Amino acid sequence: MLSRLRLTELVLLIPAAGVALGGLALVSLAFTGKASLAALQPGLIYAGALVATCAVLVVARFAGDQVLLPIAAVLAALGLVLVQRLAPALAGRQFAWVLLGLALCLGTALGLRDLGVLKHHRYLWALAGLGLVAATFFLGVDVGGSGDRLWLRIGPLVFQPSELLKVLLVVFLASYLEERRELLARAVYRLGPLGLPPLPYLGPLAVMWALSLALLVAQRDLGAALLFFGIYLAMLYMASGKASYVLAGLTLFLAGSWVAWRVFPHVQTRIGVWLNPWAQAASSGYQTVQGLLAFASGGVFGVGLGYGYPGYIPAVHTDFVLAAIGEDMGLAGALAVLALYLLLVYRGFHVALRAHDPFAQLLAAGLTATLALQTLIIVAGNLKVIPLTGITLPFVSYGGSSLITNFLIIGLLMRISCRTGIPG
Amino acid sequence: MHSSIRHTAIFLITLFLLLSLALPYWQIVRGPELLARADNPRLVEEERRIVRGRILSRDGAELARSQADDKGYVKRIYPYPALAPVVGYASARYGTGGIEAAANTALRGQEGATLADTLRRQLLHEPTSGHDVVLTIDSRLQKVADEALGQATGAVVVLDPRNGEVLAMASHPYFDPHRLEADWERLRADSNRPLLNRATQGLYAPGSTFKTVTLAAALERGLDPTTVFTYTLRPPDAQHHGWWHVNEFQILCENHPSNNSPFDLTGAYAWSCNIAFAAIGLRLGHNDYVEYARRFGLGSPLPLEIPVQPSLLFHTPDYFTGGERFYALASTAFGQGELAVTPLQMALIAATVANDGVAMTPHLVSQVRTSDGVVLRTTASRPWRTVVGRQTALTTKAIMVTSVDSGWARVAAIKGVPVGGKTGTAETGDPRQLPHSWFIGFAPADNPRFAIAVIKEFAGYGSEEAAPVGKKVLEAALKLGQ
Repeated sequence: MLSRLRLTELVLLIPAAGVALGGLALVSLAFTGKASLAALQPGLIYAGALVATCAVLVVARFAGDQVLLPIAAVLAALGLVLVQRLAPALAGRQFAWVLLGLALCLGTALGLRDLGVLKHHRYLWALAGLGLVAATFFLGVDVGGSGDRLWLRIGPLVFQPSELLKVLLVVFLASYLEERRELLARAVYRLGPLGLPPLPYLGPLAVMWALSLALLVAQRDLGAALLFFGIYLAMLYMASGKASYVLAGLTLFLAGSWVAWRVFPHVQTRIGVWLNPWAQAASSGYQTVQGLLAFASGGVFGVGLGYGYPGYIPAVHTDFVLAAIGEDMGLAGALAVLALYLLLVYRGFHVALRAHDPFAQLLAAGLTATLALQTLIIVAGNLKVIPLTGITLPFVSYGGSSLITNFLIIGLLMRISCRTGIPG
Repeated sequence: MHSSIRHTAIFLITLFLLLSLALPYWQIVRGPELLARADNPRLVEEERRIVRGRILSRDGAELARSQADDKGYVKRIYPYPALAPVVGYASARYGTGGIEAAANTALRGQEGATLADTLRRQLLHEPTSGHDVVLTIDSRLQKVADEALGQATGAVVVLDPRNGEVLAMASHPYFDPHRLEADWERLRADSNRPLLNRATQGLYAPGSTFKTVTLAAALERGLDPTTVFTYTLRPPDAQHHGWWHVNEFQILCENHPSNNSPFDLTGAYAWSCNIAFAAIGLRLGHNDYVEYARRFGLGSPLPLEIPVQPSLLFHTPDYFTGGERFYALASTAFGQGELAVTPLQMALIAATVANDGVAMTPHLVSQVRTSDGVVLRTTASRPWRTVVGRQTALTTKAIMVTSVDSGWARVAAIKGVPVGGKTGTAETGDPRQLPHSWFIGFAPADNPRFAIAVIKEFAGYGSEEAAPVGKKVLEAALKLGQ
């Protein structure tokens, strides 16, 4: 009876509201010397929106997970605070996107009665996603100023289709792989030590794979390309249970990377910067070096929210937001944020493992892997563990498409956690 | 599928844990090394936000203060730019100079801060406010000195002989510290060298003012001041009026009486007779001469908070021992030779005589206090060294007073106040230029509170150019001192 009241969720949402209010107060104090009501207003509205979301879930007798939303809400609150701190001019928009994301999350969790809609129209979803990305070739606009036209403009809104494509392809893969996983798990052809599945069944998969990667590489969206590659491999492995696919995939990846390195000058630059950013600290390595300097400046406890100088890092509010956290809040703050993602990923897989239906299970695991991989790629890029690619830190980075998509993922995971199978 | 999802979860979570190790690597292990990099913008940012303390004159005038704009960037204001050679500059690009450099830790507020203070400041993000540094300079006297020097290239140093306080220090031309960054290259290339503090770093032939050292050394070595100079060098020939000879070298003396009424020691000083002083120097011998010149401070840097050039007795290594040694000693004894001295050195010589033979440690900083006015430290006046005995100093002083009363330094006489002094007209070795014009002195001679050195470069006779400046400044000092 108590679980009906979703008290766990309500209690866990308090830290989220606290992060938003406390963070906005600290940022305002650091920059203006006072924390006015006007500065706290977004935090108050956000707290209200969180309580309202929880209330709607209670009223709708939603019986799903109570932990996913609070974790996402803490991260999104941190995002609000950091956009206010790093790019105050964009804070209003970020706030609007967060509220929209919450609504979308709620709508998905409650409104998507039938997961079959996703399962049975997989080609439609996949092609829609690919079409949107393809449209950027003709209609794309350059929002970030990076020279890459990755966005679509719809009225006053700009949207990055590769973000949505991510979710749609997970849906496609979950549906496709779930249907064929028996076949995929059974090696038919042997190629040396590798057992290969019946090739015809891999055909559509390979086509989708190649198509999406080609699109993204042509768009120079290397971060998204890397992410998609990871998602494909993870889902193929989870569906088939065969590590050999992962090995084959990694081999393909290395070969592909080598080709990309030989063919594309911008890939060469990225790799060069990764190997030795110090040699070109004033030019192509500037962003990486300034990012690492920000981390170094933070030390263990940070210099204090609003007191560091992360503004020297180009694109800090989108690609390098973790470096800003590392400087202002130190190792302690950055580790805490990583811990939140760890909890989110853990909880996501928890939902996947408890789902009854194989499609739901694979979908939940795929969506969780997506969140995990995206976080790993950008964090590792920030920390010079892998070459830097421009993707967002989920929920925290500035960016509407990313926020909406990630809240959509939370909504889907919450929906799946309801343990209701697919009718029929 | 259950187990493969579980494996994937474990794999991804392991990646998270491994990746989190990169955070302490950059934030702690490599941290100090990275932060020290020259391209770390934080170094400049923090530098630009430090609210340095004020630099004040002894009479409370602001010589430097900090002003923060709405972004928190601090600008340094110098209400008295003519003091730039002393006060210096604080530039993010070119570092610090003058007192800004010498008292840097105090001005940044790092002096006297306890660890607890520092930690509390950091935690609450309180801006560190620098300490105020109070100078011994009197801004009113400084103004008089700057005006008296006017457009001339040169320097004025006023000391309090009793305690070594620098009361005024002018060096012309100077630079505008507000425009330092914009003008840097031009200032460095300027042949007039406005970045040089001439008072402490300019090296000049002292001319006759240096006879004071010869006089004091000779008196200390037992020369009777009533001695009449019968010792003469080989007299000039008919063709070369004024040129006398030491061995094969010639010495010019336009003041030596060519009739048969020789100077006594006082007259020789007051009328600045090169021949008499060459003779005194030769009689002293170079060992004693070098010893007394060193005791007055030549050859080593004088103590002061800002950079000081050591004054030089000679620069050719065997100048005093080689083949030219008699000429070297004779010409050094009347202030030429290879002598190269700073105005500060000459002011200290006058101050030493005025202070009964004891040189007090010259200093510019009198106090450091917090922005709330709590005094952190006060510079105590300390004797630097005893140069000559009291009796020698008193006799020298009396002879210097005669020099003003009835000698070449008459121009410096002040009505109703006994003044001691000596003019100098120093040959520069450049025949196309006028000689350097010097004056050193002190007042009031019965109880000296002010000692002064004035130089005007390439200006002509000491009695016509430098002595009037000295008089003006001493007069003003006496008036301000009432």
